[in-house]
Amino acid sequence: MAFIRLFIHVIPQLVPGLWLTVGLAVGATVISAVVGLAFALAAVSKIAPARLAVAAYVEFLRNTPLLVQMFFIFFGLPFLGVRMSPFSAALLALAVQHTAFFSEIYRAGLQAVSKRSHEAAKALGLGYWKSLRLVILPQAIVKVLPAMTNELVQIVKDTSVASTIAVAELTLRGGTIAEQTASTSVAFVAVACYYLVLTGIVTVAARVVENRLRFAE
Amino acid sequence: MPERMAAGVNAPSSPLITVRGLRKHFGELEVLRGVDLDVHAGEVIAVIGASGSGKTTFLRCINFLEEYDEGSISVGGETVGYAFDEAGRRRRRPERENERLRARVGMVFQSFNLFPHLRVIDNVTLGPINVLGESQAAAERRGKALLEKVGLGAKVGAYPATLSGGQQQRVAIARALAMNPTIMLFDEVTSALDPELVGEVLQAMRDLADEGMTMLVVTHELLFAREVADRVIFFADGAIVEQGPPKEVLDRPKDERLQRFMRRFTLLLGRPADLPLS
Amino acid sequence: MHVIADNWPYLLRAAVNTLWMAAVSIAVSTVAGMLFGIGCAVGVRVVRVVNAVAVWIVRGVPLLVVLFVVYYSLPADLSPYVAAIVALSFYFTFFVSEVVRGAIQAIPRGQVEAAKSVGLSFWQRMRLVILPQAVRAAVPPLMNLWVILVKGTAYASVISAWELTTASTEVAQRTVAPFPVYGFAMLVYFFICFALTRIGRAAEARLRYQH
Repeated sequence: MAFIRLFIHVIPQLVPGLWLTVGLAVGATVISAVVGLAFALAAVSKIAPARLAVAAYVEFLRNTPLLVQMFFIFFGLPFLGVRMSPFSAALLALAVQHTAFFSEIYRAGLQAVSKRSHEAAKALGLGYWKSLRLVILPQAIVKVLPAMTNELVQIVKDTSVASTIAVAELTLRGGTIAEQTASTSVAFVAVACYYLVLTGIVTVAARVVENRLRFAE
Repeated sequence: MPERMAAGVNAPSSPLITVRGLRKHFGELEVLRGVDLDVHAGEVIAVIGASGSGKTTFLRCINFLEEYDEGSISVGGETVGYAFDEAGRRRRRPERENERLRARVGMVFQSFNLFPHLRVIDNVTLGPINVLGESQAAAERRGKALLEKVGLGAKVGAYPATLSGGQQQRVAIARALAMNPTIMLFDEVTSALDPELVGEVLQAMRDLADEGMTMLVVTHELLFAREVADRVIFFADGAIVEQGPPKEVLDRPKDERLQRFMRRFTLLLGRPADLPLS
Repeated sequence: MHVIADNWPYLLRAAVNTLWMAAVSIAVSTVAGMLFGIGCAVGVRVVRVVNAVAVWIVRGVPLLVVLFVVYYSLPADLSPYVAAIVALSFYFTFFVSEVVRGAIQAIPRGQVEAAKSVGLSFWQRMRLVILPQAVRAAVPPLMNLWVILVKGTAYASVISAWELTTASTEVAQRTVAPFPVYGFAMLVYFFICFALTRIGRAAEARLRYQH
């Protein structure tokens, strides 16, 4: 069938886009996972303004589309004198959005760790940072692994939005090929397959990590 | 033996429930190994035994909440769950017929299972309205009367979450009674209750027994069994191992397993003078 | 911010399109999702298979890509609104179905047994006991999905449907003031989504079993 022949033809052509997709996803994940933790710690802290600030940040990012955020950053920042490549702007937008989600996930995990652990750590004389690192966080992270997996998958999917600001990742590459070969459905179905494989890998890898961590406790 | 208002206990008649050769297995495990039983109208039967002895599974076969593999059960002349031809082969009865059977057999569960999204009165009238075809007004009238009978007339409009365990269980009894069943099945209905709430439920059951309801009661409340039951049945390893009047079965157990079972409960019952010491 | 003062009616008119696209997609996906969810929970094999495949797809493929596939598969003269609504409806139907399926399967078995023991038939049990409880449990995650769907309408701009994001881009390019324009657009989205979230929380509180 012509469809299959075209499909096979298109698949390798998407590979250049794959690297950018992966790059965006990995970059955004690393940044959001780290900054999100800091925000979550602020959100559970005793400092009311910090809690409010994070809550407002999260609410705002949750209720606005990533696409508009990305436009805002890419088209708006140059007016503040900041020049960004499309890739950087996309990365920044993804990081900003997913920092909010990660912070919510961490926050839920932190709050789910029972008071008993906090008190036991205090009784042992561990300071704030030590008890966090040795007692609280390990428990919190195991609790939130499923939610984190969903987040990672979502980040991979969200990289597709970068196509709208001309980052040549999978989706844009698919569109380019579609125009060149006039086989739009095939091209985008191929793109979809790439995403299915990517998200599949992420899900499986996360499950492996989850099982490893579960047995460790 | 307590006085009974209704006839049926002493009058000779064909049994209301007949169980023959009942067998059931869960995979490799044989849960019921050939149970035979006759229950006559108006009888109150206490079913006792250790956990895993099969007594709850047995109870749930009677209204076909559990399927069974061999043997037969008939309730009020109709076979439960399966129809048998002359050669003894069986086929599953259509679900409609099972529903009809269940409408005639009332069941009260250990965890009450009240419908949380409905008020108490709606819990009670759900069956009569949708299965018996009663009008809303008639069902509510009868429902309120039943709730009064179990002492919950004041809670008619409340939601189950606002009631105590004992109150919820009494609503569950009223709900089962609203269907005008010929038989009531009780599955360890006080086991999940705080001790101080057990009494009110047992009293409701006692009143029911005095009115002549046919009752099969799986229970750990041996005092109740002794005072209210006409017959006590002891289950062990999937079969009825000993049965008889409460004073015999509970005070003078013959089977070794029953003796062991009773020894665990001597603290509760106190020691009758003639109980063998071993 | 004279840019906004001059242009907000235009942008709000575009927001109306956002709203009705979202409303239609929400309605379709909620109804279809419930049907699939119930079908799966009840055990209809065809429904289960279709649902499993579709869930795998929508979980693994970005909405934007699904939108493109739908857009380019439909006849070219069909309006982009239709493509957007079809894509959004398809996509969210299967998130809804998973929520509904989960809610039904979370109903304790004791409820089914109690309903059975009173003599109710399968569909009576569903209608009177199971579904009322499942729907209550499903409302919070469903409303969350609805918010995500509203945000998803922004993608329709990529296939030239005229809605808030499209209009914002027009105005931003015309006035060369992306900051205030996109900022305003975000505020409008925020307002819509936040209101929806609030309604969801109020509904959730109302539906919780009286204590």
